Amino acid sequence: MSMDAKTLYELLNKIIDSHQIEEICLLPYQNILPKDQYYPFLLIGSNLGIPLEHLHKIFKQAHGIFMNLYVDRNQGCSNDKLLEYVNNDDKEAIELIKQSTRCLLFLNPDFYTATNARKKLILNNLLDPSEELKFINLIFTFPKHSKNSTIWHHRKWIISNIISRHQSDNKFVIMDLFQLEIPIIQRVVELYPKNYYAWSHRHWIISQLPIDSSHSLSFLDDELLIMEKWVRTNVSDHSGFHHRQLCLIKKSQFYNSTIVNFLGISRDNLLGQPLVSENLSSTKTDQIVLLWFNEIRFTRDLILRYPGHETLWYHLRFLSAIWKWLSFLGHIHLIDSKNIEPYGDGENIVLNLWPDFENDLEFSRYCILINSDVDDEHVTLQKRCAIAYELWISELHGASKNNLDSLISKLVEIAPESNYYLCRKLSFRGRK
Amino acid sequence: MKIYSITVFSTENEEAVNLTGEYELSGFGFFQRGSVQEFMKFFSKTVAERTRPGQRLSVEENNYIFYSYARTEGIAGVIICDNEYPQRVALSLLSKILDEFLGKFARNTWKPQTISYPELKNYLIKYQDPKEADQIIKVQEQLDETKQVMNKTIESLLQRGEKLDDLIDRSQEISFQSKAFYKQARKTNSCCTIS
Repeated sequence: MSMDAKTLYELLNKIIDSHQIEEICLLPYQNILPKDQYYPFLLIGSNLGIPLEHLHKIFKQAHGIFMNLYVDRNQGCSNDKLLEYVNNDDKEAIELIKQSTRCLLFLNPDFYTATNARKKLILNNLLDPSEELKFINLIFTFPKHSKNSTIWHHRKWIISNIISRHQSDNKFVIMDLFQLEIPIIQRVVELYPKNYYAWSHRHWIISQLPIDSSHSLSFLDDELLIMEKWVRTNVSDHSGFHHRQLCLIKKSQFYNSTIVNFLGISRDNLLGQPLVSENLSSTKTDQIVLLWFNEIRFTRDLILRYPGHETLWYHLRFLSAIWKWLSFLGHIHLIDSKNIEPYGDGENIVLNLWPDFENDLEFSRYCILINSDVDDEHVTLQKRCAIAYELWISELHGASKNNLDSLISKLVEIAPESNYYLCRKLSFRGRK
Repeated sequence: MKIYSITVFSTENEEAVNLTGEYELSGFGFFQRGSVQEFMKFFSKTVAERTRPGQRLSVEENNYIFYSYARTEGIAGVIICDNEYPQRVALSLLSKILDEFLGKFARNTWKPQTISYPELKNYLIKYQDPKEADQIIKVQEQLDETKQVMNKTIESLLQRGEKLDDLIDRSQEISFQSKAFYKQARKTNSCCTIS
């Protein structure tokens, strides 16, 4: 039984309008029951399946309706036609534009003209922005669409629009809006891992948090908990760690707002004379130092638990640089390390070493030593990561050229395919 | 780091029989879940049938790792996880489960209808975080005398002339919907079960 485009398009709209759909999937098959009222679509609970073979027809139908209404054949794309419907209160045309753009974006979220039309409807109060966010949630249930930059931009635009609408509204809490974003992002990165757009959106939300409200602090604490759980079970996902880093920096800003100047600092900057620190209460510096010390211990634990994951070592590099930055700001010497609770069961002393240069070296050497009798790829990679880390912190602390040279030689030996270490070795020779 | 499934098979006859199994597929979309489960069961069975008694295999396929362990008593267990999940934990967990299974169920009860093993679901949930398994690793490493694991690919497990696509095509356990998803994924050259 072959169905024409108009029937398919109308049936699809009818299903979406009359049900609370929560997930849409493109199916490589049709509903097997031709007598089903939704045939060829498949509706199970709140889940809608659209057979792939009909996509083309449905898209063409929606496209025809939309372009006919929205684009002036004589002048090309213009505001005027939509504005005309708005001014004449032409409900039918507006409804048709809503319906057809909805369909178009389900099937092809890259359709700028359609997202643009919907933005205009929002600006004219003909489309509820909160509903539009829900609509985007539905688009994201197509795993492929969750990596679509147009739709993520649309989402950000809508959120900014909602915020600007409530600028003078004291009862409006921005955190309530952000709170809804986190579960969506979580779901999206689960369906489609390594999703750059989703993580960027999440970074943006953190960047929007004010650092003077208790709402915002508790939001951030929740986020840190979620991220702890995430990175613990996604040890090779750098995106997750990067987000956690931004959250930790944000949290430190609650104690000392100048912490954020760390972003943009180079290792060379850190070798100079320490800054004269501001008058900061010792409780505040203790809190900052403890926050980062705990993160260092947490990361060391992960490194020992899951050998051979480069991401973990990169996170530790970041932490060692932050630590240096904290001592640069004069925060470190103020805390009494003996008052800090041991990490975990306290059995493993290496985890609890105070992260100064010597102890950092000891940690990376311990990582090489502990598995030296095992021969497997994780252990080989762990050794390489540990030496590379040693090189990194040695440079961070201005170690002698001889030390650096010997570490580079080791790395050239252990990682013969790496041009980076080879070039560095050659440049050392050249200088001699 | 994720465990997708834990399954136990009886391997007494040429064709392995799935006795029990649990799946954690919340990371997939609604319509894919059923198909992913069918495929995981099918692949697990294929691996279980090709693991010799006493042998431990690690089979990599499309970012999924299958760990299988066949006992000389005539059962085999298969765990499917992602390639981040530590091998040591997966194998210890597998040994623990098979020990427990053999202790709980006598041979004459080895039928899918009669096996009720609700603890399996709890293991699947609990050990999503390998940190929870510290204790069982310690115990199992003392018990296990063999630590040899053979690394294989699905292709290398197949007999001469066997082809994966044919096996899937012929399989009665895989629905036509799942076969359609598989063919679709093949066409776009993506992973076999995620569309």
